[in-house]
Amino acid sequence: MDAALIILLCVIGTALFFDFTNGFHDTGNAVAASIATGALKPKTAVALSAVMNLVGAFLSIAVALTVTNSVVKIQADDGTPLPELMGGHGEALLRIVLAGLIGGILWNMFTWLLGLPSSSSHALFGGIIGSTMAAQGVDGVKWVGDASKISGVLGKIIMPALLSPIIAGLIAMVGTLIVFRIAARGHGERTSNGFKFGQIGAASLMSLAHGTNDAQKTMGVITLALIAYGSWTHTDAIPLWVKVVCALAIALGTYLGGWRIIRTLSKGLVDITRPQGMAADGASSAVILASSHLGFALSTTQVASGSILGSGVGRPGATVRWSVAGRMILAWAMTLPAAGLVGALMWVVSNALGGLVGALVIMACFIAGALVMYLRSRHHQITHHNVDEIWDGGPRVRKSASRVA
Amino acid sequence: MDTLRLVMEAAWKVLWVGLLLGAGLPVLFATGVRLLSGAEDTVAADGTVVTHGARPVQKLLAWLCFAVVLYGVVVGILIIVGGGMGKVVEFHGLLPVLVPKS
Repeated sequence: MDAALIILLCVIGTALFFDFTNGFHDTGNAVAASIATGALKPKTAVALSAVMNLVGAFLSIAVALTVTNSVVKIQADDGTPLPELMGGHGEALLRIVLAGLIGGILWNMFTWLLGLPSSSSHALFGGIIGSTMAAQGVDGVKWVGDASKISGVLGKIIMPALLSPIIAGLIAMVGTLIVFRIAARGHGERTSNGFKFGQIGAASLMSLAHGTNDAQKTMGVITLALIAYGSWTHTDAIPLWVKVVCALAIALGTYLGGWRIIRTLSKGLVDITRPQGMAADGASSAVILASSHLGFALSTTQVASGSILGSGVGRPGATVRWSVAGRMILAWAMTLPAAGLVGALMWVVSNALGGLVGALVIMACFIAGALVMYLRSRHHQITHHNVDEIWDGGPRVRKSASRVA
Repeated sequence: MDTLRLVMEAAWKVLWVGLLLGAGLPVLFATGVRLLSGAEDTVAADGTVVTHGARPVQKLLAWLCFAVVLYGVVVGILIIVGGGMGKVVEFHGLLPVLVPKS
């Protein structure tokens, strides 16, 4: 077994683990509001979302091979790796991708530990931008796109990050205001039951869209690595096994449920009532699908959080916990640079040690980091049992409170 | 800055389409639910509880609302499926059709 093959296996394993974190990090986007309003039981909600993610992932027939092209210059226009990165079974490219993936995963796990909903795709791009910058210099990154289409870090990440939560928030606010007016009259219980179905529908739609979009990215990354190594040559097809394992990884992650993040979204930002939940979910689905239709790249996480906040602003008499929102927004702002920094550091370490040793050392750093954060999370566990306890100043559930339940 | 202009144009469109569908469809759905639910129960003079169900006209209007929402959901599913196949949705009148991405 040569060194490049072992690095390739590391890349595939890491990419699948990223896909898995992508699943549990984003479960809350689709189901937090349904859990908060009791439209779905926590376990049912994550199971539904997992199934929709699985179906969505299998709907990905097109190849998202050019996934990194909008932000970095490591691939040609047709998606094949740049020739200068292809020497020695594409080791140079594999190392950039591996370091970038580790950056994305560690930031994803850190924000999950803190219960902060932050964008998984921004973490992935951040990591890869960082490792590319370390390897190729500042010129390796596409900062600003050209006039032909929206591209570059500015157009694909920074601007959408600033705009999409505001857009989603506004829409959810307007929706909530009107839905509350309508719901104020009429038969309370029967109306509330009706809203339940609206929420479940919107949550399913969002999960389906998530499976298609996000699993496609990991499939693209793994296929890119296979092409770099030389074991796959088609730029217009994905190996079937890649599709299957990616779909399973994201669905499994979703089913595991990122309870810490679900808790922040469902209880931390605002207290969500049925009409509000339906308005928030409706706004999120519409914004996600409209922008996918119009070619505007945005983060599902930021849209869902923006909608939930907006629905809080729109409901008469609701309290919005701006301190929680502030922490979340800080995490959004830090995602790109923080994941990038880790990605860059990983690349520098692997490059300094070189070859197989370098790759194995950063894999060890990655596993150690992930393990520490997992063990840390066990100090204050949040599960489907205590996810909907009352919010008492912070994401931690007080022991006495959980004993009552 | 071309990127800024392109992004602002797209964001502006997302805002309007989002308002129309993201606020509009939940409002229509809520209207449908409200129409179907009738009014709160009242207590008659003799003490019996009287429930007020939806009248036929209300039911018809409610299902009209749901039909529009359902149309929106179908378009949404088509956008997702199209995204997976590398296609985009085009509207021929009101009929959504999947066409290859240009």
